[in-house]
Amino acid sequence: MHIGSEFKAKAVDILKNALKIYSPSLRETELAFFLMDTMKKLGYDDVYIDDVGNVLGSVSAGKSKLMYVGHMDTVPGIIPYREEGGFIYARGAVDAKSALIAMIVAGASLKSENLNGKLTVACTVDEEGSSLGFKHILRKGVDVKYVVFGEPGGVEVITIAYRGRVQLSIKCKTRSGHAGSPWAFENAVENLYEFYEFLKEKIGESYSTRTFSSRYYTTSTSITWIKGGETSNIIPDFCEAKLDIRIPPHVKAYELIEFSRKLSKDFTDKHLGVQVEVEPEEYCDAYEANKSSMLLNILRESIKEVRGKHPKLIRKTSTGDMNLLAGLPINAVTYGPGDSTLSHTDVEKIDVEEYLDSIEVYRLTALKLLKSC
Amino acid sequence: MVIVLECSECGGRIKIPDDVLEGEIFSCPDCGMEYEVYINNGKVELKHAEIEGEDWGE
Repeated sequence: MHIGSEFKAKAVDILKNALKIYSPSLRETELAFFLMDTMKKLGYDDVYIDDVGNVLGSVSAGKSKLMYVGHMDTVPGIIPYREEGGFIYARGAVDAKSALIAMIVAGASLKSENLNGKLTVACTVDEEGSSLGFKHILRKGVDVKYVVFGEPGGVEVITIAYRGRVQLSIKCKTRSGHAGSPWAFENAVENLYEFYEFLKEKIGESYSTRTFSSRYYTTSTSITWIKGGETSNIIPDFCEAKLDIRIPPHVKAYELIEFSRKLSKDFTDKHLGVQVEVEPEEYCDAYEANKSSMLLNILRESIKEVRGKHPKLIRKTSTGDMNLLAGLPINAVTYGPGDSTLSHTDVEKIDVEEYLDSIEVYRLTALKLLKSC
Repeated sequence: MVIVLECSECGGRIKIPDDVLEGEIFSCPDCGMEYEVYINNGKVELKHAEIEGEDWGE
């Protein structure tokens, strides 16, 4: 049974209204109240806004088995709302309000079904920031077997893996001096950069094993921010930088952090007058979906039923909220409509037909999963 | 266990897990060509992927 035309029209209307509300990270309140009100009107049970601003609601009773997680926030930057040629242009059209609203609407369509378990839909805050919203949900306790994260990849694509991430702060201290005699003083900026290149080389040597042929299985290190120096005629005595390191499943974040700390001690010991310190700021391991899980197989079959062909299964070289489930006994995948290459750009747009098909997929997946368990 | 297939562009060795599912995307480590897995009469084969298999996402 598919969603009727009247329900589809309502689904498009809800999406349009959600897209017209500007909701950059940590400024989701207006959207949260809109979604809470919408979910109540759609018949969700136990709809509430939690301590950090997430909106949650459930469908059906019984044991909680499946959670759909979508995020309310977007990156900053308003894109003027417009509709053209079957597309809607707006900030969040791709990343990721279309997935979020599709999940909400799909859940609502199951109200009259006789399900053997509960679906919870969580609309989270701050996914584009430090994932404050989903981290709060995890701290409160997630008692489900299956989670689907709503992020763009395309209606015929399932994201089955993300690389892990380690964000390191590097600080270098030396003694400042006159720029007229640079040979007499250690330059904190130059030493920090020398350490960065040394660290990057060592990480490449130690963690470069490629299990399978995909960039997902590699480790990559990038310097993403650097600041040092006081004025133009003094040798800098302090420099700070941030590194962004993405890691595959066989590299554990805590091991990489300890490895980096040891190298900073070795560098300090070998360079008189130079002190380098490395500290982690954020970290998470890679996540790879269980390929034999019922969730993945039902989602694949649902996409085949709606779109007529099996989906592509991709491993992203980036990191997402799904990573926060690494090591937990929860099967998760990421799925949602939209061309992810448009995420964070000023040309975000969603194909309305693709959005509507994704509702069908979310609906079928929940229906089959909650009837079979 | 690993299945090793040949890249049709450069002859590179593409390593794939033996529990691979139809639709998974892999790339040639030598030339970077993206491939999608399909199963042909129980045998794992590759075809050129129509979309970029990996992207930056978040």
